[in-house]
Amino acid sequence: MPHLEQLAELTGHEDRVWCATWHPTKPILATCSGDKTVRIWQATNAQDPSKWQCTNVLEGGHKRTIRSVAWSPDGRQLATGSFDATTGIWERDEDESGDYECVATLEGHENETKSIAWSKSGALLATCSRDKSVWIWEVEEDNDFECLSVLQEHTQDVKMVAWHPTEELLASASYDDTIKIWKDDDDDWYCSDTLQGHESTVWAIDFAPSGDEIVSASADQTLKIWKRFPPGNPLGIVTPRRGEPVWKCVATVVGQHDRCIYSVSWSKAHGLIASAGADNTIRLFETIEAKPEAVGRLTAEQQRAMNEPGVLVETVAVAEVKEAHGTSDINSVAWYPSETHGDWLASGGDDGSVRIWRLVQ
Amino acid sequence: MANTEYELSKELDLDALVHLENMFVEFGREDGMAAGERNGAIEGRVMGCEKGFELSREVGYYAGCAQLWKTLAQQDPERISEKSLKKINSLLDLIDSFPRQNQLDDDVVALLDRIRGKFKTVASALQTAERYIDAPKSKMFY
Repeated sequence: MPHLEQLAELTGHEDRVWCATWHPTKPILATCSGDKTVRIWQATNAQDPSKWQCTNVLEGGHKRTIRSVAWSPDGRQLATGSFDATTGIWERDEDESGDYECVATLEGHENETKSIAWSKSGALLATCSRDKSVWIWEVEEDNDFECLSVLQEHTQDVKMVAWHPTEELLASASYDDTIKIWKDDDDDWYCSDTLQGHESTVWAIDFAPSGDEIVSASADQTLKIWKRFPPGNPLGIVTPRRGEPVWKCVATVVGQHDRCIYSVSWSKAHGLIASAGADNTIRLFETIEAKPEAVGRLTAEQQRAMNEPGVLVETVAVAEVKEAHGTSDINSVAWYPSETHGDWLASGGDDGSVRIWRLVQ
Repeated sequence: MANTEYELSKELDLDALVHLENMFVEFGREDGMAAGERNGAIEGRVMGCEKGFELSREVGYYAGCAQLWKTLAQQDPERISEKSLKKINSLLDLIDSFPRQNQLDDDVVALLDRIRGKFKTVASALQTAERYIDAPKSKMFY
């Protein structure tokens, strides 16, 4: 059976760790915390991933907790979203000191910024906030960021934003229990679909490697998998908006986590889903096509009658680590984004520590 | 006539006596309905006026800002880029599409949200912290 083994524990943050994010190409990890700093960690020796050091501490950029951190796709810049309502853009001085400096501050949100995300091309940045809005920024020359759109259709706090792995398609998760899908129509962004089904706050979302599915993690203690059905799909799922695909729930993971789930990561390297939350446990799931006798599986007639695909995907629990951060909540889990170290998983918790795990098959 | 009244009162009508209370309750209910309908219509109208005032005041505020910015952009194209001007124009278009008559559906709420979003986009592009401060409570009363 596959399992997770701990490679390293990284200590240094003086408050809870909110988010851990891998550099897109290098074995470098960025973490942010309630101590208002970001720490950059690097393996001291590429051959031995058990020894890590903190190479940089990004301080002074934010007045309050840094809630999330995201690398630009080229790895040149780092964005930080803070409870002080601003988003910081950081760049490393490659020539001299090697220090990171804050090169831009994005203002606009009325209060706590909860999450930030760069689009695949790096041309767009999305931010979301407790003020219920999602902002889309265009990245321009000379560290200039121009707001393209302010989307205010969520009725509550927006917890997380995530871009599609290849398309310019944004998903946002909210305290209003829904996920919304946003699209661009000639610089005008609009909500193309609202995914309803969770019974409580949706804390986290991640796209499948193909981009045709989304996994969502919720305070209702379930994970859901949503699949995109384009117009004219073979199952005959009706797409109400002309030309627009529709997203439908095709699997629900119930009875695994027994507290809120705060974070979920869908590996782009091997397709395993990692989730963690207030039950202090990291769980790994594999997705397979649902067997004909699976619970919730619908016949073609039922699918047509209900306009729902029913259960199409089965999630198999493949591994778990109990008390991965002792008795502390786990706020973030993140798979390494590419094949090179695809078996690495980072986690951050309320105990202020960051842990790096390796998937052993 | 006086004769009949006399006779009526003289005759002991038990039925009427028994239903006397019910009858007054019924009369009272009818009077209440009539008065409620009248007062409710007034109250509803005042409420509608207040809400309409609130909505329009906000949209009017955005319209004022947008028109001023547009004028500034035309006078000083160096300071306000063409891109920003395009945004201002699309904000003005949205504001123009806001209905001036009473609407029976709630589309105006969604439209107002889009106007709010567009206003923030423009304010951000112009690097101003301009924002709508909620109107003081209406002085209308009833």
